[in-house]
Amino acid sequence: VIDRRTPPALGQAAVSRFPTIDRGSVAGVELRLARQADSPFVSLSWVALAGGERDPRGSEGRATLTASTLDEGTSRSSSSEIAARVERLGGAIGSTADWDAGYLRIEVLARDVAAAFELVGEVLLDPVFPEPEIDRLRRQRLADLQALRERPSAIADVALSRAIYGPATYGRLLGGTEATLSQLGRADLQAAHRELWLAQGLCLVAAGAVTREAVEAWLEGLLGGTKLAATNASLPAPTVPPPSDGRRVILIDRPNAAQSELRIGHLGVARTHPARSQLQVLNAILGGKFTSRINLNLRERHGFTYGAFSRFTGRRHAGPFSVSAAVANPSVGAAVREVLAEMDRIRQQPVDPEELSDARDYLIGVFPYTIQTAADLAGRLEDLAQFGLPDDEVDRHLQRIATTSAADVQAAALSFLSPDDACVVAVGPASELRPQLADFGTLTEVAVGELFS
Amino acid sequence: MLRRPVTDPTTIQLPAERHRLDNGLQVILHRDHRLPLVAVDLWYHVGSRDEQPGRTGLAHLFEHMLFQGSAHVGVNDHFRLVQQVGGVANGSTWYDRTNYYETLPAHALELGLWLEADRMGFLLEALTDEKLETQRSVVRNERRQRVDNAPYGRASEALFELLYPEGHPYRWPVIGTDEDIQAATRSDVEDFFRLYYAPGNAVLTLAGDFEPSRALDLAARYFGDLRGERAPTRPTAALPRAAGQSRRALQDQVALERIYIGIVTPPISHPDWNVLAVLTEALVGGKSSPLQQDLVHRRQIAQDVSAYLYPTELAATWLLVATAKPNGDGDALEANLLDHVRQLADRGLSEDDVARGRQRLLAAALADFETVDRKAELLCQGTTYFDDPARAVRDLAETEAVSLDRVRDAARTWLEPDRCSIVRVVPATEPAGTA
Repeated sequence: VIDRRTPPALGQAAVSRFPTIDRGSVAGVELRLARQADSPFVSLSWVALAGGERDPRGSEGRATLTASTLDEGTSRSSSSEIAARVERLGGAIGSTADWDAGYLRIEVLARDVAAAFELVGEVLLDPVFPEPEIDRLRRQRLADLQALRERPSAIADVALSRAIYGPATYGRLLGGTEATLSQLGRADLQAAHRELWLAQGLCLVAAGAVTREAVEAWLEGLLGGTKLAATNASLPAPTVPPPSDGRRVILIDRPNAAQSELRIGHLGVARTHPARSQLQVLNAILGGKFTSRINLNLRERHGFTYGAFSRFTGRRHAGPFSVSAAVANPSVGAAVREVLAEMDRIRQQPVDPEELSDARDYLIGVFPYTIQTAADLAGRLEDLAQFGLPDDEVDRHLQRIATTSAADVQAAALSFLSPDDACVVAVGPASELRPQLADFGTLTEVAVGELFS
Repeated sequence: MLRRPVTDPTTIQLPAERHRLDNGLQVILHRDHRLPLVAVDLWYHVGSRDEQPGRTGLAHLFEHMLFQGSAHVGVNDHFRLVQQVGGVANGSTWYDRTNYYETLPAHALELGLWLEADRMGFLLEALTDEKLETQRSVVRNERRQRVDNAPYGRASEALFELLYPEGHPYRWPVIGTDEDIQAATRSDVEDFFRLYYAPGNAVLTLAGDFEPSRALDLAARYFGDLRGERAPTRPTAALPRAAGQSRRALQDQVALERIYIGIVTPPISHPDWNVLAVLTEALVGGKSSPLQQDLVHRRQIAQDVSAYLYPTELAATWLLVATAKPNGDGDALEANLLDHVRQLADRGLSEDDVARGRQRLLAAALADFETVDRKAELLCQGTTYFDDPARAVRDLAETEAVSLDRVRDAARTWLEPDRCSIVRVVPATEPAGTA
């Protein structure tokens, strides 16, 4: 017979470290590689400082359209030939952009690495941006824009960004609008490629069963005669959002919606902010894991929602802090009250010692689980590369988490949580929500169409 | 084109020890030392198909109750104890099975076993009406989020009502109807537990960094003295075969029309299942696949197109889904989709397409083998459905052997356009919502 009354005593946890990162530099391109000798895969990723932050005003969507057209044709291969070359090997190629960077990624089985080298080299250096593919992708985006206008969670996300940032960069639509896309042409994409992709700051990230020697040899052959543009020397300064002047409520009417999408947020911090590790501990306690205060409150205590989460989004400049939940219509006002109260409580009172150690131990202990595959490792390296972070950043981040105190958490909460200046966004039946939200701040009703134009 | 095997399939293995405790619990052990992690996955062979009409959604509501504490585990302690050691935990409910899993740092294996054994053995002591009411509310919100307030959210429910006749256990959605979720009583939940949550109806898989003899001792220690009734005989059903096409149009608050074409194909245990899996991947998997190329790239009459083959035990639903362009011609898109299905039987796919389909499935399987949690899931699935922990390896070999002719034969046998069910979700002329 065993004693089931208390959890078993556990042994010592193994200490996990991020794998050693191999570094190199070829023709001005910085290489970061995490070798996983027993992986069946190789992940390669070009990371260029070609994110949406660099789209000129009025040309929003240039970064994403450039990235998505990059692998749609070279002088030797058509769009379908490029896809077929990698897909018949069971691999995948794709390119995309977020606010901070553009990414051209390929993953193949380890034995096909030579084919991957050849293909991503060709696509990076020799894209032709065929007009028909640009037209097709532009139409895809325009149709996506129409679809997004009917997706409550997407409406809420866009409305929150718009409320926090107004006309500043992160308040715009990363993928562009009908107006901006219609005037983007092939020459714009070619210029963005020439000036921002084949430019200083370009990095190659590699993970899986591949060696630095093999990657360097390939890069030398590929880039020997390439001269990178210098335009990346200065990244754009942040466009500053309007100063917050008290809590605001933004309501978007979906007359017969069965549920409401709720967002509460305000300006947060940059990816490289020195308090980032402490903020991760704060966020884990507040709303970053299942057992966080906000989720236990809204879901497990009140049953208002299937789940509620908060996050500090890391970008080059201050990204948003946001709380997200899909809430039963009659409970929206009560849910807002609870979220604001949790934001306030973590500012007013130090967190319990046990809550603190739970959060720290979770963030540190879960780390190996998040780096099981070559693609996981490549994602971590992309993050380090695009923000110019040192190789030991991941280990140092974990160490900083381990030493975060209750006072650190409270100090971070006081500095970076502002319940009184938060934007509250609700997408749902306005007639039912209006009376519930009236007390929280100046209420503005916004039409969906305004958000997507 | 030359066929290139992914690697020698005989070198891909998922070696596992298999044990059965006296109470019937099966224990599967797979070692993987690459990282200090262990996945604990517990499958119960019960799902939405075991429910009664009028009590749909009970298996899933029940899954929520298993996270509300048991005799020795406090109400929010399951997640708290797992997360405080750096573990992740969740559960999922499906037509045929329900599973509960934790992926833990290796030193916390015993914690996972203690937690799972406590709720297998001592759940009802901790069940209260208040907990049930809260989770009923959580689940109703989950349904709203996934179904009622999601664009196209009600399409698959409508399609399954066309595909599966009255009384077939796949006719109702796993999450259940809102009415039935509200109707479930505490005694329904208690009966469900007594009937199905017995050691003999479960498979426990441990995958990761541990010593097998110690892991087996621990499993025996925590689970060995648990007892349960023999699970009742499960409802089965003949494979439904539609006499003709059936269709339904749904109005929804969406911008783009979407077309769902479904047909019932044989279950996951049937030799043609892997063939249809290759066919599905060959047809729409990847940008270079014929359907993506024809509908999205060349004709540009679809915004997107995708296909699925359900891994289910009584029958496998084959599903082809395409979204039309703004103000697009839904009739033309439907006709094109059905024409592609017809061509699968008439002209067949090309050798290149079938080779690509095979290769993508093999690469996906290798990716599955890269994580301990996914390996544990495959070992549970193989043992639960096929009495064969290493079934995933056999699937790889079968996938590798799928020929062009077998793909065409399977299409002729199972994918007859004249027996399809079709649901079209069209933009509502008035903002209708769900009222």
